[in-house]
This record gives sequence, C-alpha cells and structure tokens, in this order.
Amino acid sequence: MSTTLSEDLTATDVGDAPAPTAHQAGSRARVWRAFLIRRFTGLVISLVMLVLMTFFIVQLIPGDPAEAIAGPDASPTTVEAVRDELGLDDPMLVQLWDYVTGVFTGDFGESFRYGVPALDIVITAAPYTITIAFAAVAIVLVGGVSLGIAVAIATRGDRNRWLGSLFTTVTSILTSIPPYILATFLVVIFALWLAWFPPAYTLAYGYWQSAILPIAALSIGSIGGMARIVRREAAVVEEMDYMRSARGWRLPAMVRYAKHLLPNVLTTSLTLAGIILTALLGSALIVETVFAWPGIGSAVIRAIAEDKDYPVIRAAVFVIGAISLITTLIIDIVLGAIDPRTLGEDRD
Amino acid sequence: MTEITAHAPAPVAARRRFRWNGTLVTGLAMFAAVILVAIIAPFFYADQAAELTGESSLGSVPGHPLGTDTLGRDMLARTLVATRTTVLMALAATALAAAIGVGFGIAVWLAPRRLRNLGLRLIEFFISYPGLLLAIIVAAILGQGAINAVIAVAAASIAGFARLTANLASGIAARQYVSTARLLGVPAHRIALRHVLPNMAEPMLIITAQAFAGALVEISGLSFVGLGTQAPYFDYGTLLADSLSKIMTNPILLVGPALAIVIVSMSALFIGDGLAAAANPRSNAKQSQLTLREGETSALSPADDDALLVADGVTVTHIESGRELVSDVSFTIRRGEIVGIVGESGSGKSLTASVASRLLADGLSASVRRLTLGDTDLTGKVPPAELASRIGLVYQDPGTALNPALTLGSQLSDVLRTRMGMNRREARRALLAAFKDVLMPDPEGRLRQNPHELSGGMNQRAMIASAMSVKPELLIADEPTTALDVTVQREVLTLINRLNTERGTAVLFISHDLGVVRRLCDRVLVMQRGQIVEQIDDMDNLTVERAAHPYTRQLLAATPSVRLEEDKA
Amino acid sequence: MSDTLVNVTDLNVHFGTSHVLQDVSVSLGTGRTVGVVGESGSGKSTLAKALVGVVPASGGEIWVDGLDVRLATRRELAQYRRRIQMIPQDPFSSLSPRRTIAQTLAEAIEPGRGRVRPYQDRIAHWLERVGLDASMMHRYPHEFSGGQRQRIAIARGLIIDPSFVIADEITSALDVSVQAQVLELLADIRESLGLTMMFISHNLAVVQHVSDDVVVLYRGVVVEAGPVAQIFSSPQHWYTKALLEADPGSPGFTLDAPAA
Repeated sequence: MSTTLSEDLTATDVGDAPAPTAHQAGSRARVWRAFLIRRFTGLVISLVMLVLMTFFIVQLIPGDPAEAIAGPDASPTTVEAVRDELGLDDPMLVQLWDYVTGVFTGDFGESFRYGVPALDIVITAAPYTITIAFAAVAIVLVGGVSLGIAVAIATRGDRNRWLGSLFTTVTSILTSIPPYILATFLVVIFALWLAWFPPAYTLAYGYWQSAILPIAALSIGSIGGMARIVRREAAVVEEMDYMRSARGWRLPAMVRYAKHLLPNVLTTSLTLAGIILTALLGSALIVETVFAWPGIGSAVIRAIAEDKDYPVIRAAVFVIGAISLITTLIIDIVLGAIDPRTLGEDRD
Repeated sequence: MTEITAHAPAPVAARRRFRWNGTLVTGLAMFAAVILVAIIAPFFYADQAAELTGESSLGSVPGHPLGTDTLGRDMLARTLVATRTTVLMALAATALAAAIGVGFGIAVWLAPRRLRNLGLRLIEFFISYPGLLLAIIVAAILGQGAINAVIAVAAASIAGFARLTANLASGIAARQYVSTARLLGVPAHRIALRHVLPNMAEPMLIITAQAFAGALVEISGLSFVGLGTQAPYFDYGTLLADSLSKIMTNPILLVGPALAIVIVSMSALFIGDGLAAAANPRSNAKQSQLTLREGETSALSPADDDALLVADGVTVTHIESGRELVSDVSFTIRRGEIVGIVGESGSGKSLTASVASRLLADGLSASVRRLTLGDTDLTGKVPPAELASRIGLVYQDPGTALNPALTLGSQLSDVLRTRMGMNRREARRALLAAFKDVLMPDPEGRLRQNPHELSGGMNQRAMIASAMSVKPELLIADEPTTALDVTVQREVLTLINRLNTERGTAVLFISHDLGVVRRLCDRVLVMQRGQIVEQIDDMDNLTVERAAHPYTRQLLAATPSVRLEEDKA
Repeated sequence: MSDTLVNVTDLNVHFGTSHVLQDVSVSLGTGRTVGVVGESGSGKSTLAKALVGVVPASGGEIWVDGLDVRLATRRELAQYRRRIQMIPQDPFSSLSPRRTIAQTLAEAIEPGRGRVRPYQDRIAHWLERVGLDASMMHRYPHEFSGGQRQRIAIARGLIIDPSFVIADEITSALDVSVQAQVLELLADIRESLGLTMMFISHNLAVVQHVSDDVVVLYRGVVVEAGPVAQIFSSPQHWYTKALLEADPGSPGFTLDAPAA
C-alpha cells in the first residue's frame, strides 16, 4: 500500500475517470467555479437527504409510532393527539409533503412538552453548542498543529529521542480518554477541589467562565490526536522531494518549515480537522450533559430519553446536521485556497 | 501519465517483516487482561456487585477501595462485573459495523459506475455527520436499551468502514495486477476475494482496533446519558452516570468506571497504534555525518589539485547495517567541465553526488580524504550562503522536486532572498531574468503559477533557472531528464550544454543513460556497486570496442540506440 | 503480410471533450510485430486499451482475430480477451504481493477457480521458458528482482497461448542491462512461437530492436507508419525526424541548436 492510512481515511476520489495531470494554464477561475458548483450541488443534495433522514426518524419507529411516542401508560386520547400532531394518519407521501413544506418554512411542529415551535427551542440552544464546539476546534487546530510541528522538528532525524517517546506516550494516553470522562475529572479537580470554575452552567459565574471546562474537556484529547497526525504527516512531508530541494537551496530552517512544509501538512491536517469537528460536535452532545450546558445536546437527549419530544428531536438533528455539512464545505474551500490541487479532485 | 520512464524503482513492494514493538505488546497485554476480567469477574463478584449492604455511600475505605453506592454496593466489584457487558457490547457493535461496512464498501466498488458514485455520496454524507449523533438518532427510533445501543453505535461506524474499504479497494484496483486479472476474465467477486480483500487486511485491522475503542466510548456514552443499558443491567456508562449524580458528595465513585473505560479504550488504541507502527516502522535514521580521513595517500594525481571540485576517497556507509554503499570513489571536476557519472540503480552515483553537494540523507555516514570546492574545505563548517551561491542543484523529477503548494515565483526566489541578500523585488527581477535565460515562454505568467499547472519540461526549465540564478560555479544535475520525453530531454540537455558553454559553469551530470552522457559530457565515470570501475577521459573511447572495463562494454552494448541503416547493424 | 490479424481503421477515442485518438489506422499480419512509438500524451496506451475493449471507441472499426471488437457482445468480448494478452508496464504493481507466482500464473489459465495443482507442469514449463527456475513457483513476488518480475509477467501473458500480445512499455522501468536481457528473451520467444505482437514504447531504439513495422503517434494522430527499415532510414514527417534526432545515439543528435 503506497498511501498512508490517514490518506485512506480522508481522501475520497474513487472515480475511475482518467485523471488529467498537466493542467492548462490560466484556468484557475474555471477550476474554482466548477469546484464551487459541484460542492454547492453536493450540499443541496446532502441537505435533502438530511430532511429525509429526519422525516424517517418518526416513520421508522417499530410498531405504532404514535403509541411508542405517547408511552405505554398513555390514554387513547393522548395517542390520538400525538398521531394527529405528527399527521401519522395521512398517506406516507402526504406526510412527507407536509413535512418537507414545513421544513422549508422552518416549521418542525410544536414541542410536545413545551408547546412552542420545536425549531425555536433548538435555535435558542444552538449558540451554546456552537460556541464550545467551535472554540474547541480552533484550539485543537492551533494547538495540535503547532505542537505537532514543533515535536516533528525537534525529533527529526534521530534527535531528542526521549521527547519523541514522551510525546507518543502522553498523546496516546490523552487520546484514549473520552471527553465526557475528562469532563468529570475536570469537574472534580477544578470545580470541586480548586473551585476555580463552576461545576455546571450557571450565569452567576459568567458565560465564558462556565464555558472553559466544557471546552477543555472537548479539546484536550483531540489536541493530542491532532498533534500526532501532524507530526506523522510532517515526517512524511519532510521526506518529499521538494523538501530536499529546499535543503538544496540551503534555506534557513524557519523558511523551510514555515513556508515549504507547513502548507503541505495543513492540507491533511485540515481534512482531518473536518472529521475531528464532526466528532467533536458529537462529543459535545454528551459533554453538555455533564456540565448541564444548555445546548442542543442537552435538549435532544432530554427529548429522547424523557419527553419523547419528536418535533424537537427532528429539529435538533436537522440543525446539527446542517452545521456539520456547512462546516465541511467551509473546510474544503479553505483547503482549496491553501492547496489548489484539492480543487481538481473530481468525484463524479 | 503512466508513460513516464521511472528509472529503476527501488523494490518498494518488498514485503516488510512484521516488527513487534512496545506499544503493540502493551496493548495486547492490557487487552488480554481486560478479556480475562470480562470472562471471570462475573463468576466471582456478581453477588458482591448486587449485594445491598448497610454500608451505603462510603468513600474509599478498607474493603471498599472505590467506595460504595447509595445502595451500599461495592463499586470495585460492580466495575469489574460490568466489564463483560461493556466489552461484549463494544465487540458486537464493532463486528456488526465491520461486517456491514466492509460488505457495503466492496459492493460499492463492484457496482457499476453510476451506482458506485451514488454509494460513495451516501458514505460521504454519513461521514460528514457526527457518529454519536447518528447513534442518538438510532436510539431515538429504536428506544433505549442495551441491544438498541449496540445497533445504534454499529450504525454510526458503518460509514467509516465503508469509506476505508472503498478507498483501499480503489487504491488496489488501480494496481496492474487487478486490471490484468480483469482482462484475464476473472469474475469480479473473485477479484474482490482474491486480490482486493487480502491486500487491505493490514489497515483494516488497525481501523478495527480503533473502531472498537470508539464503540466502547460511544456505547458507554449512550448508557451514560441514559440511552443505553437500563437497570437492573449495568455497564461502565450507567455506573459512570450513577457516580456523576454523587459527584459533589462522593467523587471517588467516579474512579472505577472512568478508569475502566480509559483502560479498555487505551488497550485497543495501543493495539491499533502498535499495528500501524509494525506495518510502517518509523525510520529512526541517525543524523547524517561527513568526516575527514586523515593520513591516507590521495588517489588523485597532484595535477588535479587546482580542480574546482576535488573529491578524494568518498565512502558512504549505511549507519544501521554498516553496509558500504560507496567505496573510495575519487574524482575531480575542473572549471568549465561537464563530468558525467553513469551507472545503474544501486551503483551509488546519486549518493556520491549528494556527498559532493553536502546533502547526504539521514541514516548515512560519509568519509573522505579530501572534499574541496575551490579553496573551501567542504568537510568543515561552511556558511550556508556560500554553499547556496556556489552549488546549483537540479533533480530527477521536476514534478515532485517543486513544492505543489507554492507558486514558482515564491519558492524559486527564496534562495535569492534568504541567501543572496536580495529583497523581494530584486529577487523577483533576478528570477525573471533567469527564466528568460532558459527561454521560458511567458516568464511573468509562470512566476504566478503552481507547478501542477506546467508541463514536466517547463518545470525542469524553471528548476534549472533557479539553480542558475545564484550564478553557481558548479551545477549538480541528478538524472535531470529521466522523467522527460525524448524531445524535451533534448531541449533540456541543450540548455545545460549552452549554460556550460556560455557561462563556464562546471557540471556534474548523473545519469543511467550512457547515450546521453556520451553526447553531453567531457569526461565520464562509470560506477558499479559503489565503485568507479572505469574513468573515461577521451569520449572517443566510450565505445564497445575501446572501453577497457567489461562492465562498461556490457552497458554500452545494452544501451539501445537507433540504427539508421539496416545494413550497419 | 499474408493474413491480417489486427485491422484498425479510422479509430477515434474521446475522453470527455478531448480527442485522444483521431482516425488511427493500424494493420498487423499474423506473426509480425508492430511497434507503436510516441511520447506522453500521444495516446499510445489508449490505443492498447481500445484494442482490448476497455476504452470505448467513438468511431472507426477494430477487427482483431476475426472479431469486430466494437460490436462484440459481452460474451464474445470475454472470450476474445482470453485470446489476446496485455503485458503490463510496471513489474512492481503487476503481481499481487499476497499470491505466489504459481497462483498468479494459474489464475491466467483458469480465471474462475485459479487452481494450481492441475497446471503445475505447465507453470513450471513457462517459468523455465522465461529463464526462471521452476522451483521458484511457490515464492512470493517480493522475492524477485524487477527483471525477474517482468519475466513472470511475460510468462503470465503467454501461458494461455494467445493469438495476439500487447506489450505496453514493458521495459521502461528496468535498468538498461536488464532491459537488454528482457528484450532478448522477447525476441527469442517471438521467433520460436511466431508471436503476433504490438510493442508500445516511448523509446525508438527499443522499438526498432523488436519490431517489423512501426507506427508513430503524435497527439492522437498517426503521423507515419510503415516497415521499420523504411521509417528509420527515410522518415517523412517532421515529428518522426524530430524523434529520431532526439535519440542521443542518432547521428542527427546535436546539443548545439538553440532550444526551441
């Protein structure tokens, strides 16, 4: 296998079209346009699939969805009310039509529990989740990339072997601690013993004060993972012919690493950052419950585990899905700006 | 283009020996211990784990090192007993995801084009979606419960397996043994079983170990938020959730389940890392070094003393194995001269050049009796600026020797700015002049382009322009035309020849092609297995009849050349 | 040219909007070898793929061994591909690293089940025919050098006794002395078996070495075709002349002219 595992995990050009190599000059604008058109079409298709997926959350419930949602002890009237609210009596296509038109107007139905539009509940919660997830990703990117590069430089060749071993050990331990476990440790240490931060979300401490522990819980493990990837990738890039060219020009180490190596490492790192971000969004959902953080995670888990509040579940799933899809797109665009070759990777 | 002449590739396909390493052994040992606990703990501690005692909500006390819960059950026993449920759930989810994911990935790869693209898009969609959220959705559909949690987590990791499978399969499918098998009429499913699956075993094993760790963490996470195992059954996640509710009063309860999750996931991740390291050992190449051997008699005649480059007794050793790759090679290059080194793969010609240019790769050590460029002793500390300005370098494959992420103008002017003391504008102007010098069409436009936008010949021109922009005394060109078409090769050779004639730049020209060397060089060294077998000073002697060494004659005879009249053959 | 085995007339191939092969005509008599020469982007590998029916043609006719390849049914095409063989370029990716040499050769004989035992003698015979030891059949590819691997690839191509062989750049990854040995082997087999072959290469000298006829491709167009002796001694097209003069061994080769 000539490709590294990380390439296999990230690249997805499996089409068998003959890849044109020598690009014609002066076509950059055209390449960008083609790329953007392709990606936006892809986004639209993905959003459509997302709508379908959220629709089927209710339809796929085994047995009679209305009875399952209303619960075993519900009276027939309650079951009927649920059935009516979700339109489960209508033919499937009518239900789908009603649902899709509803989604387009931002109407996911009313929350069973709170009686307000489900989307409102999710929209209120969304900024909380977005804050901690994106702050964590930013920290992971900056921290992971710089740590990885620094270690790669310090341990190149056979230099500082002890640092390499220390780095490998520490990062592998960090990456094996799931964020929600780390969250509980952080609460015990920093909230209970040291009392620097509140153990749970409270306005008494201020927003960011409360946000620090969740962000730390989300990012610390991933910094280790990111740094490992970057270090490995930097070692791979260091072996490339063009890095030998840079040594041949006798460029100062700073120029070689910052200018010639970094952009090529970033290509992989950013691709992985997309994966890490989606993973982080997922972890955030659970970490939120540790800190009683009022984000989408707390909302959706309560909606599933306690309230069977399907309109809220649908709205939450749609919003989180849309966030990850749009983020993936943004990352791809940034990647294209850094390394134009990635624009050409045609998947069709 | 597949038509590029790859000259004698290293045997990369050689099967690597499996290398055990500390990480893998640690991981396997930890995992074995976990499995052991999972098997035997319920037999010994099941009662203790369920037993309600009066000693409720204890902290760490003798007899209950990890405390007791509100019902007085021993937390250590509960954690050990929960291992079986947790590990079984994670294993089931991983196996389910792997089976379906690999199957789907292979099916996608086998499917006709349109269906395949649809399948890939589907995989992409689920990949760009948080796995835990997918698991939560499935839990929302199926309701809470251990089996549902397993299905949910498996569903969430299917896409990962499918994508890896599809990617690996497409990589393997691009191999010629697959296309050949197809042409031979081997049925698609046989190709999948015979060629594709066996060749993806290694990365698949690694990803499976990682997926197991992920599944464990996610299942515990689902149980933790109440979507997984329901009372009276319990796993790590539910124990953690119970402990969390007592975090203010009895934080010691967290230790058991938290540590257990970390240990099991760590063991799996260690196995994955260890497998990856075993498959792809990190080269711990020692830093290269160049030393001077003193007190030996020179192999060169005193007449060579005033040559531009004097390399006397170049020996290169592979540090780890102690194997000698280049043995006592001596040669000189006079000003204005083009000297060729010719040899087949493994002859040591490129290594010799890398010693002369002070660019020996890590893992190798070189020693010389003498290595001087003009008056400068290259074995000592030479300021980088001096090396940069006196030695220009051109490499084999311009497609890989240029940085894909930078424009030509940006990367090729770096040397002028950092080592020749020019500012941005001066460097740009100097590079532009050099581009014009190598007859680059539209030089201004080229400065703004990335290497992948240019043909191989144009990139090689740019590389030569950059090497010449510092006005070096010596140009070292390592197989500069091997990757190029013959007509382009001729243009590049003509260019090197002209720069040599016009500027008097000395050239060290490395090549495997005696035909090329014969036409370009003033003198030729023939290398075989790290030694110079023959030095030819008069190019008229480079014929099958006149060459002295049998290897030179053999090379000459083997070098194909066009015969213009049939009767001459 | 007694009976024509391969007859390609006005073949056109498009990849999207690019016209890769344009009105290409090649004909080849039984027992003869045609060399196809051209640089990167000339379409020479596409021609080979069109001949085996992997790349669809957008116009023209391809007749090989009495079959109209373009109009062949699926089944006819499958049978046809058992009668022609393509020897691939890269000796390192053309053999599956996880299968023994015997398994690889057995797959050529019996694609479905790929059993080794019934064909052991035949495999041994062919390994010896290409200059390898029959006892090597149970080894894995990584135990062989590039030249040996290419010999194995040749054995795989010939073991089913094909009526037509396409060799696509089979020596371009080899060292010159190894290349010489492989070419010699090929010449020997060609003579003893009366092979009909299309030999694709970027190297004029190599093509001249092994071919009876030569076709010069330039950007998808046949610029010149004919018997080797004629083309090499009096090339008519400027591109053929340029190619000949670019060969360092040719008398026309010079490094003095200003680069174009």
